[in-house]
Amino acid sequence: MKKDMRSGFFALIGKAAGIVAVGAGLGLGVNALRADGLSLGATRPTVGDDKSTAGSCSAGPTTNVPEASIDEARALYGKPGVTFVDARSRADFERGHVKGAVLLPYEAAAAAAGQASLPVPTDHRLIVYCEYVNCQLSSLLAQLLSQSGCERVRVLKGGYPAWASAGLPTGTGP
Amino acid sequence: MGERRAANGDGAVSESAATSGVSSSCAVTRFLEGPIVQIAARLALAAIFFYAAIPKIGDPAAFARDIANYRLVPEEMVSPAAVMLPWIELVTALCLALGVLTRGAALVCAVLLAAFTAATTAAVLRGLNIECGCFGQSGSGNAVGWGTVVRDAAFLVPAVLVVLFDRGRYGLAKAIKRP
Repeated sequence: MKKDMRSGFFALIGKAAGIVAVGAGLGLGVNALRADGLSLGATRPTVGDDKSTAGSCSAGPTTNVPEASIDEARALYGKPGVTFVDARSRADFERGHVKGAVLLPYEAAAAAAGQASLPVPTDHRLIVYCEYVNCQLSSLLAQLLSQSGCERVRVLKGGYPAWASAGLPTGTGP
Repeated sequence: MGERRAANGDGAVSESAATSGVSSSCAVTRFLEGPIVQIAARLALAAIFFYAAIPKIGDPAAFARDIANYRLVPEEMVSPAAVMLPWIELVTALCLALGVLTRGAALVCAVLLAAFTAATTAAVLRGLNIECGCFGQSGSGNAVGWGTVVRDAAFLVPAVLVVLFDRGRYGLAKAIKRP
């Protein structure tokens, strides 16, 4: 009886493992065939990985990107030489953004890196933000900009929700 | 026989109470093994996993971002997980819908749902303001909260019912085996 139960248990585990193996194999196979398949290495470029120079920023040393608190961002907002950069998708941007921010989705910036000019004023202080508190798009884009030689780049801590919930100026639409 | 007896109020043993307890337990088991529970649980799980898999397969990059936002998976495992997980969900959903390898598929569901419940619980406890990513649709504003945790835990119920009580009677595999 015990033996039957044990063999039944192992048969069940075997079936489950078979399903996982087939699914994983299909996923990897389809990913390999897709034009937009993911790279199965590191998920984000790390500082120093990408030697390309993006846009018109001059190539310079790469650094870890510091954060700007909501109070720091509030103090900088509207000052000459400060630009807010939205790292999210166009749809997110159109739903709501920091008023006056420049839309630069991370994917578009990464694809354009080294090939086209990025639409950001390179001599400005850049405050990059995205959708969620721990959203990685802003830090990815900030790293990309830093790697491209833009020296005064910071990530907005708390992202767009922190900005909007603080009652700071926002806009909608394109 | 002693262990099947139940004591009544004045200390006497009531055989009929014991018998009725056993028969009602058998009735519950028969109900849980029956077509209503088993087919409903299987198809509900299949629908949930199918609905969860398709958007993620369509946009693996968005799903990778959702996984990364949980900060639980090592960075080098984020993309492989985003690529493989939706297909595992899809294969599982197909098995459940067709009634092929049903208990194995339900076990996969149960393990995945337990992992999702643990991940969402951890996110809520750490105060992360992130999207669930449960059904793809990155950017939908479906943030993780206690509601997500309860929903994922509730989905475990049909999975456990199928793992424990499916007897392989109502699926394609059984139909093919019939002469």
